[in-house]
Amino acid sequence: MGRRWHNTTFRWLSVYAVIFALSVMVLIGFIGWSATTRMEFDADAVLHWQLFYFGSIDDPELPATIFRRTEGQHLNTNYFGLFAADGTHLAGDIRALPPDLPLDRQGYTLNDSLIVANQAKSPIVRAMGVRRQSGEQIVVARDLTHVLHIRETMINALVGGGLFCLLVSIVSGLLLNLRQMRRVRDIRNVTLRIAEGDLNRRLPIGGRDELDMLAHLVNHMLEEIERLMTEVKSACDGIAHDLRTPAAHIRTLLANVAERMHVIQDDGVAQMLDRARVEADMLLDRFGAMLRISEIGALKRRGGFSSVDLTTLVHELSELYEPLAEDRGISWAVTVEQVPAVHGDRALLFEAFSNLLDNAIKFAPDNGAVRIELTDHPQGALLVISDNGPGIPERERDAVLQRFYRADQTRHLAGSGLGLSIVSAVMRLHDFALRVGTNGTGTTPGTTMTVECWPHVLESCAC
Amino acid sequence: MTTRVLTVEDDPLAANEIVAELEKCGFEVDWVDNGPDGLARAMSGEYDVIMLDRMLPGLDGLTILTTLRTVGVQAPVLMLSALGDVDERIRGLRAGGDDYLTKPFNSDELTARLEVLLRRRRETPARNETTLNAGPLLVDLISRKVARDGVEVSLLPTEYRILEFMMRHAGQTITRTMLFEAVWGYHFDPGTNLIDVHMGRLRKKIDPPGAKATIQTVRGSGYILT
Repeated sequence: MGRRWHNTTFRWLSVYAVIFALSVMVLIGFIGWSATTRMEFDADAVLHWQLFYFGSIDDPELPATIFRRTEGQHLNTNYFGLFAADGTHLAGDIRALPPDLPLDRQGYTLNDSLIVANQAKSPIVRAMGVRRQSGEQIVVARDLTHVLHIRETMINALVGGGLFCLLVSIVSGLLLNLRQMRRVRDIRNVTLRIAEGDLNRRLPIGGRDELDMLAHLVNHMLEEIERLMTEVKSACDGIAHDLRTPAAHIRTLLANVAERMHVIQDDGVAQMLDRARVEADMLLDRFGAMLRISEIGALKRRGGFSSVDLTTLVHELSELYEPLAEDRGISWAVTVEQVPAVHGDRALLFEAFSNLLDNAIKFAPDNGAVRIELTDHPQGALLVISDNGPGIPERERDAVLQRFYRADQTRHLAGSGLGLSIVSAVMRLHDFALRVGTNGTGTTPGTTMTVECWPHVLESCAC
Repeated sequence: MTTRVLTVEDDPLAANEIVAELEKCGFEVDWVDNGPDGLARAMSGEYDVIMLDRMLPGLDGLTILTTLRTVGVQAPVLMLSALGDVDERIRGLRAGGDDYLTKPFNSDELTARLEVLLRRRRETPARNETTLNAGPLLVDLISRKVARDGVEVSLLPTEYRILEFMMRHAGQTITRTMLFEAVWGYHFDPGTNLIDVHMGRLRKKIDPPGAKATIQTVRGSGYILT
């Protein structure tokens, strides 16, 4: 599931989340900045007015005025303080001259340096001070706590709302993505089945989006491919089938003729008859092999699969083919390791491996050598069948697995040329892989057929 | 007494061929071209062996076979099936004492299989013998010992199985395919040569040099033990 992080929707979702978070941060910053500026501007205007008012009052009356002012402020939103030139408190509820306040008629925000009567904690204020001509100093301040409180609430609401929006949109995005992922997974499963040869499967439809459009196109394409495949296959099978009956007749007739050869007593005719019978047999063999390939292809996929013990299968094969090798003086080496059972069709595997052994014996020279090795690998069982015959040139190695292909130097040997196609068909059915190689160099490099008895269908798409 | 064969086959061409071939071998053949008629004729019980096509108009071959067995008709059945149509039920026929053949088939194969089916039926009652005897050969089925003219011959397991099968069907032509299926249990064509080599090994052991060969090759079709 590590791949989930790479799908398109998730990538878009991450980009969206980052952009959303950045813009909300910018918005909050701007709102915070403008609110603060506005608030300070308003406070400064009020403070300015008050200083202006105090400025118009003569020195002797000032303490009384400030006292009155202080008394009038029950809500404690404004603070006043009158100090002598040396900083001694004269009047007002500001008890001490704040040390960090320049007395220049400019507004400053004081966080906790203002000492106010009747309040344990110094409030956050906007303060302004002035030094009168007499040397006395006036400080006026306006409590900002409420305004700050409002600002804080507003920012909290914005942050909370933003987080909520982000969370909701990410969750709904993921949910939508999950649905899309499920569709993609369904499509992938069906595609794998189609790749295995189940051509009558179709991609699921039902989203009215671009995925659906593609699915429609692919389905249309599959229909066309299936139609063509069926046509080609039925034409081939039909030809093989229809020609097989007259060929069988010819074979029977030739046998009947041979029985009556003693009437003619002609050696030349007898020889030609023998050759004709061999050719007729070969013809029937090929038709038989072609039909067999179609038959394997048409087998209900994995219908007859069960657990197959390759070890006994290889022993059985060896026992069946060893006399054939011995007959030609071919040395026969069998190495069998205990391997885990594979899931497969025992009869088909036997047929396929017997084709490989038959080939190995066929292509090995007289008194040559054939080796069979069954070994246990981490992925599964590995069967290697090798001979010391002429080998298969590298450029022909793929071609030998196709129907009717025979290497030039082997045309003189009997056979339908379809043996390896049957093997390929069986391997395809099992998802096993057949690799054609060589086991040496020089004039007789030999052929090595390697069968990897483990599933290969997922190899091409590392999902 | 002639052997009566019922052929249920909807393809007239194939049917003509079968009828001609079987009549040549001395069978008396009746041909029916559809399932229901075929079932009715088969149920009359007057046939020694019945050939059924797998695909028939009206009723398919396997259904006819099941019905026949239900009503107690015991005549052996040879099922004809298209090559691509051989499934487990068809393969099961061989285990149940019947047989099948894929189309198109070789006429030798057809007659050889029919003979085996007929012989098996005639011999069924006396089946619990413990030895097989043919000419100079004697096979003990329990100890699995083989003797020729009283002299014991030691055989490998495969060779023994081939000989036992040939002895059980002594005097009948056995095709290579039949032998391969019976002895090895697989259903494909392993090539003429392979079976011949195994047969050659067996012959070398059971026929002393100069003696008359007990198993003969029937040209173009198979072997016969006389």
